[in-house]
Amino acid sequence: MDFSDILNEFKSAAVGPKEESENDRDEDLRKISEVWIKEKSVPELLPYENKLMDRLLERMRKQIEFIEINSIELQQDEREIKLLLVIVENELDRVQFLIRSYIRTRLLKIDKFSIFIRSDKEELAKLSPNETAYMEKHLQLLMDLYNSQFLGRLPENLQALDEVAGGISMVEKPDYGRPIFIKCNRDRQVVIDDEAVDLSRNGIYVLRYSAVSDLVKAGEVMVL
Amino acid sequence: MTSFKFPSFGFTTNEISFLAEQETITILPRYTMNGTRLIGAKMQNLRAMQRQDVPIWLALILKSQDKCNVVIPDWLTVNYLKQRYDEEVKEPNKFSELPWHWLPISKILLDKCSDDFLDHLYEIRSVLQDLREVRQLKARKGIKELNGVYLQLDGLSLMEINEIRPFIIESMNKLRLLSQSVRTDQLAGVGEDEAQQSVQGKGNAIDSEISYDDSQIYRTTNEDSNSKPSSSRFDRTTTAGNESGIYSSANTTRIGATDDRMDDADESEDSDIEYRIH
Repeated sequence: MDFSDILNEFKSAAVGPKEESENDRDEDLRKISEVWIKEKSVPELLPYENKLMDRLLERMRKQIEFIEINSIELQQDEREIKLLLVIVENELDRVQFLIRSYIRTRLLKIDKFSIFIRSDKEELAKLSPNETAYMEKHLQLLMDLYNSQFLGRLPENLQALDEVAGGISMVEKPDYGRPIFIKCNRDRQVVIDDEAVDLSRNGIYVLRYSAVSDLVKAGEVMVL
Repeated sequence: MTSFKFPSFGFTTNEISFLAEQETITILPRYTMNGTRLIGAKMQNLRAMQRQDVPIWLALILKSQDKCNVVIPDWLTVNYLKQRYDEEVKEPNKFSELPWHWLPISKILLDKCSDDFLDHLYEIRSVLQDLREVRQLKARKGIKELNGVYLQLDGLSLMEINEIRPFIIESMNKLRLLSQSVRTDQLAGVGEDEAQQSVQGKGNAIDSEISYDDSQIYRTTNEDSNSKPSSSRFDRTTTAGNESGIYSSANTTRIGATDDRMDDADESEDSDIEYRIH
């Protein structure tokens, strides 16, 4: 690394990632697909991909603008722009699908585990502000409904929704032991039931999530 | 114990095809045309008769407007696929190397770009079908190795994985729960009768999508714990014939059922590309 490299690095850090290279853009698209697959396959809620989503949403907004501007000019009979619009719209649709499905999957998990998530700071940090607001509101509505419909008429000691006494927890937690499919980037070893299992590079394995959850979060194995 | 089921768990055939459409393919544009900015990588300017790599979904749009020809990838030729098929037959314990998305891509190209193939379509179709069947058979045989700990499935493509995913995940989960309950009972030093009951109770509590022959499983479980109560039959990678026998016989029917469903889905599947272009 010579001096100009350092200078450049400093400059780009100072200016911020304003002008993204094509590579970055391609990478973002690949990443959102990966994030979507991960979220769908893994039993627990994963941290919200804040920056990635911001970048994508911003770019989507620009694309929509592009479509709007250009469709006004369509009257002038430009055939080529028409095809380009189709392409732009199509890509937009594809990215929108990924993002929608990603968020829906997250909401499903949030609905399912809301009581558990609320009780745990680490879990709570995985939500975006919007998701937190959604969860609180949804839970409130649900509680109100339950209370007015039947819980209010039960004896008081049976009214709780988050009881953990008696060895059985009412709070629904993700099933960390559920098996998932993974592909390894390189050779490594995991321990399952006190037994070491060797994972080889490019091998495809099915094993319980709890054994590889750290690797998954660090992005060191690919979830299928 | 709640069984963990999201309505959206696993992927649909369409979703896998969607992912396949993000792969790149080489096209031969017929016209010169300007590119445009996209959310992902920019679409390059196209020059007539100059090869260009583009994502498959983009190639399909251009193709449907007769703006390009698709260069069929090397692996989608009768010659190459025949070789892979021979490999599959020669090596019964290994899957041959095929692209990660070979099934959806070959289907898309056969459907949408049939005039770009140099080989006869019927030949390609038939060798693809052969390949698919021989691999499916192997995948089913592999299920014999199923246990509660882990399973290795090198060489399968994403679509093939997705087909067996629901079955494998559910049954592995169940095996894990069984082995866990056996283990905790052993640790707690519970008497034989109780242990047996709790295994049965567990089995009943687990509501399963997968219809094994219940009675059969319980019978073997009982016999097993009667004869050698301390055996950790669910713990290990067992390949003993009689045990896997139960599962594999139940499996065949189950997987067969999935296949039917998959085929239906295949037929009713429309590419989401199409409705855009009119």
